[in-house]
Amino acid sequence: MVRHAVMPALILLALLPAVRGVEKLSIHPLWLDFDMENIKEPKERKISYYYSFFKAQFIEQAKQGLDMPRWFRAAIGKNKRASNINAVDEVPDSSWFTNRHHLRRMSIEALVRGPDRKETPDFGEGSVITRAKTEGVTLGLQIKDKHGVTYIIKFDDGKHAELQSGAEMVVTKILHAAGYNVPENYIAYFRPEHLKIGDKVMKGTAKPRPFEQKDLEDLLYSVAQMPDGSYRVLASKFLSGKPKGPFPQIGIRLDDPNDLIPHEHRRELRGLRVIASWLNHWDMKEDNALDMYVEEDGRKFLRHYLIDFGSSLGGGLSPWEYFHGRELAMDGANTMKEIFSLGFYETPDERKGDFISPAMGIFSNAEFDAEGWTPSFPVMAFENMTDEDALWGTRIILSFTEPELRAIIATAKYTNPADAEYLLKTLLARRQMIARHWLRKVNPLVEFSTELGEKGGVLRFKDLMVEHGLAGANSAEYVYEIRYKDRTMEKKSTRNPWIELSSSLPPAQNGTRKIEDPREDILEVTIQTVRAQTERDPVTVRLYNDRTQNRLRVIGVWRG
Amino acid sequence: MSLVLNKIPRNCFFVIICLVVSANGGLLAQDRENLPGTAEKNPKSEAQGLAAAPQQTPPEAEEQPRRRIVEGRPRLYLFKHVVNPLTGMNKLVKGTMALTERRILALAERGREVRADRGMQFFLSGAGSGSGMGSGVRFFDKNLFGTGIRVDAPFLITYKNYQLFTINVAVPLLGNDRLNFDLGSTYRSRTKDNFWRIGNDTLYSDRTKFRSITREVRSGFSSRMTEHWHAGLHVSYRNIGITKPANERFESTQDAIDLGTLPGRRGAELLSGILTLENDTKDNKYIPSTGGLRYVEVSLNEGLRGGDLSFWTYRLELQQFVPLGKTGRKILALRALFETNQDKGGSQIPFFELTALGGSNTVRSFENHRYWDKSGVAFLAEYRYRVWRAFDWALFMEQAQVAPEPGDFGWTRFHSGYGVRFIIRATPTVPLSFDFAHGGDGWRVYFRFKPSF
Repeated sequence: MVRHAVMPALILLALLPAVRGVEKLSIHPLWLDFDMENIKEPKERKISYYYSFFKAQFIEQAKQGLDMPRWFRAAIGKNKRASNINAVDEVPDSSWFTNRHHLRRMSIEALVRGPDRKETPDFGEGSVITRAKTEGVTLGLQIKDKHGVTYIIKFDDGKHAELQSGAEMVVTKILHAAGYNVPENYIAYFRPEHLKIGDKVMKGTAKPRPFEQKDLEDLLYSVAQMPDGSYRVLASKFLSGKPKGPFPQIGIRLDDPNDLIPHEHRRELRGLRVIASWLNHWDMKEDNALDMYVEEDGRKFLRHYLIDFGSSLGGGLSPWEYFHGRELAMDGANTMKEIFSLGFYETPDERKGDFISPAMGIFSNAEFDAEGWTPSFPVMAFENMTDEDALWGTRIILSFTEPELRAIIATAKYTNPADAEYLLKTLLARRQMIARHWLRKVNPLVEFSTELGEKGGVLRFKDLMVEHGLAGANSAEYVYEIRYKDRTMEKKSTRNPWIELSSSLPPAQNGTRKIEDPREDILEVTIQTVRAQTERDPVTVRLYNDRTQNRLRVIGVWRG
Repeated sequence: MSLVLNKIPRNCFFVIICLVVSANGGLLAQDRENLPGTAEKNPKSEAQGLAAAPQQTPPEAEEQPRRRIVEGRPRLYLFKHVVNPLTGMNKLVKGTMALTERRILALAERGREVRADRGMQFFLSGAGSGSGMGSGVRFFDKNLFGTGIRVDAPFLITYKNYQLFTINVAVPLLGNDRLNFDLGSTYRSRTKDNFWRIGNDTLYSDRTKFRSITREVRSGFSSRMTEHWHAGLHVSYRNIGITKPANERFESTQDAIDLGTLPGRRGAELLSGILTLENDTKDNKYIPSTGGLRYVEVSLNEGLRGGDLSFWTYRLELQQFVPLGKTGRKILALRALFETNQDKGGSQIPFFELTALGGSNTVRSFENHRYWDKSGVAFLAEYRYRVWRAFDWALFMEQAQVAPEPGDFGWTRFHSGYGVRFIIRATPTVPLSFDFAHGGDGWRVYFRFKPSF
């Protein structure tokens, strides 16, 4: 009988994560998840396009279908919380992500520089073609510039000059400022007569032969050319370290001992959905990421990069395709709707967008749907995104001011100023639509800070709806409740973005006090935002009354 | 109690202990770190000591303690990963795709070579209705010795051992295919074709099978008069042998049918003159969304061996594709087939040359070659609609009958069928079609490359 009980016990234990306790708070939120320990060099993870598509579209979806706790969470409408959030509901720095603009404000110069560490490449006389890619969907070259630095060269299609290069440039800067690891990308120019073809450059893979001048001419025939005869290209500098293939979008890279958190539960990947929807970065297939085995401070480990943003904004090889960002490349649900409606259900694939210009494609804010935005390939992290993850992503995109965005767009060097202006306006409009959608689903209070004076403490916060003009200054009532030790104070409300804690706090003492039970100095404030008769899930802020330092510190933020 | 415990295998204890330990160990590291008075202080935070303390300005990375936000991988991660059957499937798919993708890319590269003037190409195809799929190799030269002469020689064997070996030579007499002289030869072996006796009401249980081997030589002229109008005038010599089907569980046609009543029962030699006229306005050869096809064929066939065989054959095929709406995603496809064979001066028509309806190329809801007679007519209507960029779905209905003479056709004699169809646009011009059709004899399933309709 006992033996019969073993299997149910095993199953119950396996299901435990579904009912695992919530995170406890600490007085020092963790801001660095140190996943940069020295590791043995992993093998390169090779992944084919068709396999990654099949895996994401079918196998991983089936795996999630067999995940019982996931069904349970879906039934109660709560996705699993992200696994790498610290006590104040933020993502700590790691080999995946570095908190930048939204928490550590960057200057316009820093935003414009982005990940760049070099001067713009110089493809003048003496530059050498070191490799050619003349087959496949995208054509390209590798060129060593006059300074001996090798770049991957990507072209714009002849009919859509500046489209992909411009998109890649803008998105690189934005994703870098958002905190992601991205390559150094540059807008560069060259003249074919300045290029020398290297001795070992081959054309073709099945029957390779030396790449010749005629092949270069053929390659350049269909790509965009500037009026002065030069070619504008996107030059992407090789990432430092050894490439180890893309990180899996789901699960853990087993050959990386630093990799402890399933990627679909990393907040920076979940919240990326909001950022990607803003930038219409629909090409999020697995091989548009890259792990690099790097050496930093004497330690060798994997750093995780996002790459290839040429299909963002209005970009892509087929920029007139309306479905990008609106349905999956192979959308089973829409296909079934088409079948059972006898073709009368209108999918995004049937529709056409207004063509703005060759450099913008059909990128617009018309019919943009913040919630319904869909990458063209399934991304499990996006599917796992919670409202709190969405708030995190929304805060990042709201952190850019209009002048900052204008400066970033200028790095794309659009020939027609109207294109840059259009892109700015569209990004601002899409951002407002995103903010309006996601901020209404959560308690939009952020940036909690405290003051502790002789009279007591004050908890300040920002209401993102108000800050970004989505609601009036006094449109919300903040109903709050303070808990201290075992006591819960009477509920109060205010229309100001601050709460006075004076009467709730024990008197401040000098730094000589010995801490007997530190929990006595922890105070919790739960704030409900009531706006237009709707209540959002409360946000609870945990404060530590550090009487040794005479400070009141925010040590925890809990939403929901 | 100890008795009970003794019954539990030792490894079960080990597993349970491991699970309990991992259950506790899986909690966030932060759960246990850093409570006031016990934790390591954050140097930057301590140094700040400000009266106003913003929450969300993280210290720089180099100033932070080197800790992890979790202590380990999720509980039983590796175990769950390994025991999940989909992990094994994933590995299998990965390996297969790695091999296949390399092959596809190699073929794609070779495909580009095919666009060259001469070479060799492997392909998958069928060898006519009921043949099953097969693989073949094609040798071609689009400009033989620089003369402009085209040579095309496909060789195909299907999994049912149907064989089709052809060589075609086209000698241009006028430019742009205005006029060609054609020369060709074919060897065709069909191992087991159906025959149900002659008539519109034959019983399904009367099915017999026969094997035919055809050797053909032909020559003549073909002309592409305009973009849409084509014509041909050819002479063909055919030697057709009829034998018993190999390894077939159905009765042989030669055994089952009264040999005296079946012209051409042992085969025949036929000399034919064939005149064709075609008006093709389809916008795509295989998956059109608009346009149509009008095809007329008249042939005179004279028997050289196998009896007094002499007859005329008239064939007419009409196809029309009507787009519904502006997008071209919904199409009404219509098709009509008519054929009649008329004996000449009291001669006979060999049975294998009679009109046979049923199968993938004519009426899908009927068994292959289900109804035989001198004349036949079929009407097909299909509503096709796009369900995804590369997928079409279709619903179709079919009506067909055979009769001795066109005057014997009657509204009440039609056999009906219906079905659904799934078309994959493997490339913009090459479709694969799966047809699920239901007729009086049950369900039929077809898989075709480049279907003619």
